Amino acid sequence: MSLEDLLIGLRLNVLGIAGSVLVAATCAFLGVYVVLKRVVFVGVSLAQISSAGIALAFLVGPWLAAMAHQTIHAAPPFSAIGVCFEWLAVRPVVVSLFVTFIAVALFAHQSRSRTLPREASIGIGYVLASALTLLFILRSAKGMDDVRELLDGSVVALGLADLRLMALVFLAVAVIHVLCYKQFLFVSYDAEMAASRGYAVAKWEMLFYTTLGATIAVAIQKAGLLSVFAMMLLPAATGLVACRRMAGVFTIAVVAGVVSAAIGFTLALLWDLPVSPPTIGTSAVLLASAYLLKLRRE
Amino acid sequence: MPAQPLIAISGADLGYARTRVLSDVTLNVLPGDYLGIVGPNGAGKTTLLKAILGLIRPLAGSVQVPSSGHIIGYVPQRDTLDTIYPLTVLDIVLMGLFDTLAPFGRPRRHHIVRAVSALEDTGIADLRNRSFGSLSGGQKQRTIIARAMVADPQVLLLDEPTNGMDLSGEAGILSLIDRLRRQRGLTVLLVSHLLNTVINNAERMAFVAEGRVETVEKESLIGSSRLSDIYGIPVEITMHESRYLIVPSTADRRDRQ
Repeated sequence: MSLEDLLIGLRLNVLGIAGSVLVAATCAFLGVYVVLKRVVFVGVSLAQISSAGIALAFLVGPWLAAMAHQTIHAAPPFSAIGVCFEWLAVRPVVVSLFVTFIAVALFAHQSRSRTLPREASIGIGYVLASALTLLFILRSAKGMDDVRELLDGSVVALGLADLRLMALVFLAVAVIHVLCYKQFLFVSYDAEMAASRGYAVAKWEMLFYTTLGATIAVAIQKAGLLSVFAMMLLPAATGLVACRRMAGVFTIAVVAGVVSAAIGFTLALLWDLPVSPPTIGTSAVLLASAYLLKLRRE
Repeated sequence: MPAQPLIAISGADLGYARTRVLSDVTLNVLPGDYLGIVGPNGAGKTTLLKAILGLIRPLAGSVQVPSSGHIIGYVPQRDTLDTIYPLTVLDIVLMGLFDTLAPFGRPRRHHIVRAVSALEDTGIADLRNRSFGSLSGGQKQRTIIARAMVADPQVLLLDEPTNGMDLSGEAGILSLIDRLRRQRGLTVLLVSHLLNTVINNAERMAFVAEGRVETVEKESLIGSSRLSDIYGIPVEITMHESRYLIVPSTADRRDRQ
């Protein structure tokens, strides 16, 4: 591909690039907490559960559309139900958000339980969600190609409405995290001390996981399972390897995420690849570079 | 007129939803007290500590701690703090002031001045910009004592502060606690499984064992079989140059060999 073709490709995919960069920046920021709190597998599990939510939306979408068709012209209140069904049928992200929030609530409840270790419930959530994703996809009108789309994402096909929704959700998450930084940090770092100072630890944890769940659910539909999980893990690890201050770690993580997304997208266009592998590859190279620099410094 | 207790636990049953760990606990902590809370592992020291901190509610009876101001400065076990967090000593001490900030506020210059002053009190102000993870055990302990002290509490509640420390580290921390207590008129609650540490530093002792909490005067332990009963092995208590020495009895050790 010539440079001119590449530039045209980039210009045509400006929404996709913007979406990739937004997903990478938000996931990288939240990933710092995910890695520090040692809840990487909560991130994986929530990502898989969000995928199951999207697969469920694929499965029930035609049914919702059929119901909408039957009821939308009926007398109120049935016509209102029809409008809701029609709206839901074309918005898998809403179903995904709903399923993810249920999982967040269950995980939060389970973390206070003394019956099962937390890892067990996270693992159960992951395997159940994986199995259900396959089952829903196989039974849906779409088929196995959608499994690939769920893994790799379809960020190239990102529309303006999708981008607006992403930007809105991610902006809300960013505002919550900027405003409540000290609460999230204190509760993550020393929950007992925070509780002794009057912080409602369970509520702050619930808010954190809700922002995490919302980010994953919105990101995964277009960026795909692999990209979302990788952007939660690799840039955060890069930040932690490169810097020993919280502000520096967040900054480096977000920059590493954004750079990975931009370079990954460009390489995907250049070599005609799905976006996930070159994005993850770039992010891994940045992590390795940070690690080598750290070794050299020491 | 006798002083009003700072912490008053009266006829309290303490535990968790389905498990009663301690029954009928009555314990008064007066201003200026230096109370050592000791007992075998798993006896319920942590449950008592959580009740005092208000982290668990009594199943019966009452636990009264004045709610105004920062009554209790809590010093958790330092090993519970994850060193993977990229936090400096100053960052950690500032956490002790987080609840005094506006809901969405950030620490300002005067908060930093207070935090540095707390670090000066614990003798590690020069380490303020060092990473917490890079500190020695004693320096970490001083950092979290400074975090507890920065809010100017009336009671310092320390959970196993000298656990895993060498002799000089332990002596340094105990001497710091004693100095802070005298300078600030603090009330100190020292939770530890190290009997010798507690008996030689605290003025009173509360034994947590067999689901009960029993307050004893140190002198009454000499010649008593109470410790042997609590720990289930013969225990000798002697005095050596005005210091208490608690050891398992030599007869028992020979039996084991």
